[in-house]
Amino acid sequence: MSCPTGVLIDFTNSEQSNDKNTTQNVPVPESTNSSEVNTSVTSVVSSSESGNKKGKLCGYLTKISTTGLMKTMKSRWFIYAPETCELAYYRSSDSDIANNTSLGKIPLRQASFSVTAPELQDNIFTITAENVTHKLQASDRKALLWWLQELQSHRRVFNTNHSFDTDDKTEWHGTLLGSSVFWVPNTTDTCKGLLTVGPAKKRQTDDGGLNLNILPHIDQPPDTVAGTAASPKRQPSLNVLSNSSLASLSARMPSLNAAISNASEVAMKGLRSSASRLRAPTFSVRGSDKVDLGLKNSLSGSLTDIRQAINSSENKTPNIQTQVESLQNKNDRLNEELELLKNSLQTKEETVQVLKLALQEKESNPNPNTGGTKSTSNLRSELIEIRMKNESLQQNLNESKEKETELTEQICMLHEMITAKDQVLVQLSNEVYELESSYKSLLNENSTLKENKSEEFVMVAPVAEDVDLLKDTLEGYTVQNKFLNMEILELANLRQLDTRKIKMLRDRCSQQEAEYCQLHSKYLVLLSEMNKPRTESLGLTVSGTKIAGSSDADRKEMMKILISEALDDAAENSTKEDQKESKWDEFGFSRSLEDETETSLLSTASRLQKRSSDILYSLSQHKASIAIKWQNYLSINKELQGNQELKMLIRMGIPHELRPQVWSWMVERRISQLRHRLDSGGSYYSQLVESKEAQLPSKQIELDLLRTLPNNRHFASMACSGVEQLRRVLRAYSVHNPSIGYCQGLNRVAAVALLYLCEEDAFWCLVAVVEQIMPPDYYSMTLTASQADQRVFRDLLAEKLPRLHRHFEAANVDTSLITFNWFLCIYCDNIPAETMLHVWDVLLYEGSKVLFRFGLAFFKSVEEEILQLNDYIAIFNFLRVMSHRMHDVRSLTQIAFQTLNHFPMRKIHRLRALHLEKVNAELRELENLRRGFVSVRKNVQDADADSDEDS
Amino acid sequence: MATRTGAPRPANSGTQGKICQFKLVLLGESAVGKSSLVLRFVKGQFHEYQESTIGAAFLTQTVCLQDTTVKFEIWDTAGQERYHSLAPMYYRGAQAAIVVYDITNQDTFARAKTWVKELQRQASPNIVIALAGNKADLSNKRMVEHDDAVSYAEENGLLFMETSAKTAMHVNDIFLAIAEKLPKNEAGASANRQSAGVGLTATDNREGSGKSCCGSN
Repeated sequence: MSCPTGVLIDFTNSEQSNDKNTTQNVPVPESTNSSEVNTSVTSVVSSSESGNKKGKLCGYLTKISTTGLMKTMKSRWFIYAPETCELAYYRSSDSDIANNTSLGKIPLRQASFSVTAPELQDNIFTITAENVTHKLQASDRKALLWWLQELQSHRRVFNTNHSFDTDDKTEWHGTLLGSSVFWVPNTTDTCKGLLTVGPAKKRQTDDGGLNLNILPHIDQPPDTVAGTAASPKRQPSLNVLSNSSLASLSARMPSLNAAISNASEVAMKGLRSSASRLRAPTFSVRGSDKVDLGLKNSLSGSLTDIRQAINSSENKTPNIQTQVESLQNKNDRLNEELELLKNSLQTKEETVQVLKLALQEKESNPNPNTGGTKSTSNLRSELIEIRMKNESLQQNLNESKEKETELTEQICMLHEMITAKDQVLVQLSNEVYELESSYKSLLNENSTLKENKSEEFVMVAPVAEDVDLLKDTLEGYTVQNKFLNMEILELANLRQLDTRKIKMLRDRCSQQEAEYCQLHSKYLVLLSEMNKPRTESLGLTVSGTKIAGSSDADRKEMMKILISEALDDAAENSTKEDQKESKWDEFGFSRSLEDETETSLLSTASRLQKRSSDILYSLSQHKASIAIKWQNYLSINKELQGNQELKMLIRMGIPHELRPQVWSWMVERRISQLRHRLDSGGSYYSQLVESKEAQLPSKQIELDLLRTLPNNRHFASMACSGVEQLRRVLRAYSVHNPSIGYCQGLNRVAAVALLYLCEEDAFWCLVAVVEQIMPPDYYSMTLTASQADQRVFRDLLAEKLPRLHRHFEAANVDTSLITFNWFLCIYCDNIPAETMLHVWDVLLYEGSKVLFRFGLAFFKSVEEEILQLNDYIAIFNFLRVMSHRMHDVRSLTQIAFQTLNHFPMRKIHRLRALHLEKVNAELRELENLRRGFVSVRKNVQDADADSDEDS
Repeated sequence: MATRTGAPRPANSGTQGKICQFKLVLLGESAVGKSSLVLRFVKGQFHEYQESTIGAAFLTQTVCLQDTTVKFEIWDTAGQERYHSLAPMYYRGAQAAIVVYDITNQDTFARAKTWVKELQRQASPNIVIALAGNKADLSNKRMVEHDDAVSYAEENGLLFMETSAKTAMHVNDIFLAIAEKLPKNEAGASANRQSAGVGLTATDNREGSGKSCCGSN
């Protein structure tokens, strides 16, 4: 069986998923990115909810619908149905799926997805399907990208899988089983029977042709905290950004040093700007999960650079100070000199005054003497000299004063310089401190981020905000562009696929048409032949071999050809159906048609009819609905529970893949008490198998082992594992219940159980069937209960199908001759495996009443045909063949449970009791009659005892 | 496993005179080859491992005698002891019976004898009983002597042949012998059925594309 692996349900995970429902309201961690912070409105439920069922695409999204001017936003549970490639949405994750009442479905097969940059800000994406646009909002960017990616891949997988060249029968096959083959349940915890119900072939999920890694692959649904990894994709661009700014920073370093040595404002500005530049990337880096080591290194490098610069500038400061000091000393010295000069000037002035006075005195005494004149002229010259000296001193003073002011100015300047430098120093050390602290905080942040990733640190530099916003928009557009590119490629691929598909379909269609025409022509030829007057018709009809005339011979020949052709066609079809297992079907039964032309023609006809009805059914909307219902049921109920819903589901049919699980559950449900009593240690079965009685070969069991299901590959030869298991189960059962021992028929029951259950479970299944489901004495030494059941069935037939019953009575047909083995081996003799297994499904759940329901349904389905037959042999011949034709499980189930609606168990009990009594009475009579022979036989046996030993 | 040897032999002649319909039942211990005999006779096939019969199986086959067409409705019963309580359902009204035993197993011969007794006492008084010692191809493992069986058959007025469904030995012959022995008058043939001999309508076409007729024998 081929199983499309659209989706895997991991049953082991379903528990988790249920648990997670309780923790739904984990708040969406705020994203670090400013724009995302501003816009993360979205659904309440955290994105971690989505995709928690492994392999299953589902989650909460906000559906935005615009009706007129109204814009409504509703949170919906979206779940992707891989069978139909539809995205169904529900009010919530648990309540509505149970009722299977989706609020709507978005067909994805031909859908296209898109995002636009403005909408990307709000995490909205658009699905356009069949000219309807659906706007959906994800909780964050990652969820959005994840959804888009998953939807695309699912669409691709679906389209690829459903292309007709890979496996065209899938859809039909799915419903051919009356159920679905769409899942691969995790059966590791359930014991496996002989059948492998897993995927027969692994479908390639990623096709080689599409290698669209335009957008980075988002491998996990965003169940990691969104904040820590705002977007993994953004990481590289951030790094680039910070690296470049760091480079510019380090490029600026020499200039910084120069600036510091110059002690100029320019340098400070440069430093400041570079510091701020340094700061900017620090902030933007802040949020990132893992800060580059390189970044750290370069940061610390730049810090040491700055520190060195500061140190060197600090070294220079004392030099300046000493210079200033020397200048001040010089100044002081000059001042002292000035004072000295001033003092000398004063004394000189005083002398001048004295001299002046003396001069005046002399002048007031004219020509007192020549000596006086001489002294006067001397004085005068002296005076002049002094005056000149005075003037030069004055001049000197002025110069000194000038020099002083100049020096004072110089000192002021130096002071200013020193303060400026101090400022620079303070500023620089501030910068350093700031940088250090920011570096530390960065480190702290990193460590805290590592410890607790959800811890947030939001700091928005007012200038950076704009840049970030712009960057985000840019990024949004980039994402949009990339996504749209990818979408275009995807769509182009899909289109190509579709074109191929269409071409193939067209070819197939014309081929089919040709075949149909051929068939039709054959049919017409046949009709015309049939219509010819038959001259020797009696000969043909009676023996079928009488050849009375040439026309008959021709006709006969033609019939033969047609029949062989028809059978060849059928065989060809059945091989086409499943090329991998042309010889065996999924239940392990041989597909080869029976050799008997008569049977196989009719059986093939009915199989073809079933197939046609399957095809029509699969075209209708209910396609795979059973599979989906089971899927939903199991996703909600982690444990199977006996209730009406399950009953209805089982009546619809248990999917092949789920049978091991469901069967063993049903068996357990039947025998739990008994098993609790007998098998408390869990080793009851192995004890039975190892018991001495079970070791003895039982003749009848040995005879029947290979005659059980010779057409099934698991029981075809002694080498098959099934045969060995069957032997042990039957022997164990005969030890377990010696009053029944081994009854022919039980081998079939056990073998069917072994198909899906492990050996021990099959044993318990046998116990459940014989001791719990069937009435007592069904398989006992006299088979009384099963004989009685045939009479009950006859009564029910009379009630439910009175016309048929009267017809049988008139033709003297006793249905119990036919129905006996239906009942005794639970419809596994000469009945299509699928039908038989479905009967088993229902029987294990509902009990032995089902036997009557299906028996009557069989008759009902062919009632009209039987009514056409009047002859005893014809009817029996028909009855013999009819069970082969019971392919149409769906309509049989429909008849069994709906057409024959009312079916009180009370009545069956009453009839059973009544007939049991009658049968018992008859048996006693028979026993009395036989007693004579048995004694005779015993004598004979005694006489032949010797020869017995040898056999 | 299936071997198809006895391809249907077209009857080369035969009158349309009488068509007789007989009910024939096969009895015998489990796994002696009842179903195989029938399968060989009706379809000309043989399966090494024939599915064990549960309850009974119904088949038909037509045999052409010189002046009569004999149609057998064959009830192939289950062999296991506990199914014996069902046997009367099948041999009731039967005009012929084949009691089968396995020549490699003495037990089955003993069992065959009790079947003969039961038939003689319970079944129709004129029932034609044939004894078939099947698996004659395994004569190297023989446990039931041919002569013993012959003498027993003579004592009880039974037809007797050793047969082999595997090699088809004497399979058709034993059915033919029964057909020969059966009373062909209308009364006997249609003892319990109003439809015998007449009313074989088109539905009968379905039966037997494999035919085994006596004409050529």
